[in-house]
Amino acid sequence: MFLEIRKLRKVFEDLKRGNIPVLGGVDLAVKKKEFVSILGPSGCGKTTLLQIIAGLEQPTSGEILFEGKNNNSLDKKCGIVFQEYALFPWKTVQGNVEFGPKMRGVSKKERREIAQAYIELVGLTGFENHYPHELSGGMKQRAAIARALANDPDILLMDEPFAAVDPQLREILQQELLKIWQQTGKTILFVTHNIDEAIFLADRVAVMTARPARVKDVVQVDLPRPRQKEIRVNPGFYELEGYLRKIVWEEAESLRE
Amino acid sequence: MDKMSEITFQEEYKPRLKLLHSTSNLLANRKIRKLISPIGIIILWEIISRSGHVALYILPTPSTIGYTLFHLLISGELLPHIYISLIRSLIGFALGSILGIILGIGIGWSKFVEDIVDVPVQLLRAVPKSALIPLIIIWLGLGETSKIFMVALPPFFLTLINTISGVKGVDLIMIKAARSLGASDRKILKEIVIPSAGPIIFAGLRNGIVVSMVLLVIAEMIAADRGLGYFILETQRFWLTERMFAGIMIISFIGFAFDWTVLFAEKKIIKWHRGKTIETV
Repeated sequence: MFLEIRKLRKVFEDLKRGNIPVLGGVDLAVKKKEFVSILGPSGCGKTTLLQIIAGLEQPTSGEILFEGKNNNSLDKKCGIVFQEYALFPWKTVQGNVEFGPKMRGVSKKERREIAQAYIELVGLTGFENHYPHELSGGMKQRAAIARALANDPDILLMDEPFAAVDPQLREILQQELLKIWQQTGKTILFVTHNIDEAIFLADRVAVMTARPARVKDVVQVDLPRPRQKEIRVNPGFYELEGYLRKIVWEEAESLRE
Repeated sequence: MDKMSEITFQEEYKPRLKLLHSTSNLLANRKIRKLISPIGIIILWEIISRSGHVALYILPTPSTIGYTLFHLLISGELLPHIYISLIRSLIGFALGSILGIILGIGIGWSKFVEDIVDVPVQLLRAVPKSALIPLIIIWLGLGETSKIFMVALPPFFLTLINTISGVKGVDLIMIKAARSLGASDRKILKEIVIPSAGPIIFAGLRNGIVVSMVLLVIAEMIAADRGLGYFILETQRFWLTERMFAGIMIISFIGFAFDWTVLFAEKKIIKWHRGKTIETV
């Protein structure tokens, strides 16, 4: 197994409201080059899960194994794409994309080339010298994806990256992401609360429970690849969507109680 | 109106129309518009001074002040005063602001440093710096050290406060993004925290300049035998008002030049902030 998450628990200590259990024992295994969607209601702790995998947060208990090794530091190189883009406003697209290589001490000439390649991959050629505030939402997210990829991560963690863009653009970005995934052969863990998006992109969809989150069900998506938008009218797609919707409803209900 | 009279109408009013056009063109130029009120004030001042209603030693004419300033500069009489004031303000400002930025980063970054130094810093900050001048003279004497120390105080506190809020205001998601891309603490400071806090730190520097010039002048009036503050006080003793104005102009110009230099540096360093204005959003 490429990535194994075992009995991961996280409790946030809050002085006012007492302890808040966010993750209640998450188990998940991801194969190399696999695309796994994590589907769950808003506020169920998906972001916390990604940040623990990335080493940005410490789990209360449980473990994360990368290729069998327990490695809770940042050197395993997880690339993160945040919902809020998190681009550095004081750096141009070029400066943002070459940030990772720069931190690794890659020479100026070499990291220019790396950045150039990934800027081209996400279709931002011509915008190298633009600052983030000069870009549209979709372009910002492309730049953020290029930045994560330029660091050559072993796994790409994406935290609702397309939540803030309109539905049409969202479908285009999903299509592009699949293309990039096929070209780069990365392992991707993609967090979303959008059922359609989860199915369209993934090999498997892991559905989370309401807080404290566990993996409620893992569903195999046996739809052919490469996928185009037409796959959304495939009966298999419908069936999965119906099945997943029911589980998500159950969780949403339990949240209200 | 037949065709003929229409033509004569246009011919007749052409010069006036032209004048109207050139005036409105002139006013459309923003650089020229900005000059209107300063030039107007100077002309009005000259008229009032020359009218004889006000004594010249109270309000000398701008032309006399200009002449006196020119003469003082050419004869070299002012140069030692300008030189020493410049040195004091440069060294004091540089020391104060650099220390303010360093301590500000420490306090903004680390809760530990904040808990240790925050209380004394906040208490000292509340003290009017000019009230400390006599004490500083007792402690550091009448030499340059005491003057540089006084000049350094305001920029120290002003950049300190701004740096703290700038560092604390860094968007945590930026830090997370940088960490996930392999940035060490040192790189995060250099690549994320300082650029992010940059505009606020620069605002602190610019405020620091203004107040450090205030302290410079007070210090030179109280305890110096050279410097522009001393020069200005001396002119008062002999009712040499036009020389006083000249001194005020020079010290203002130094403050203005400092401010301009910092502004220039800010534009050079913080390129990303340019073009991002409320108007354009």
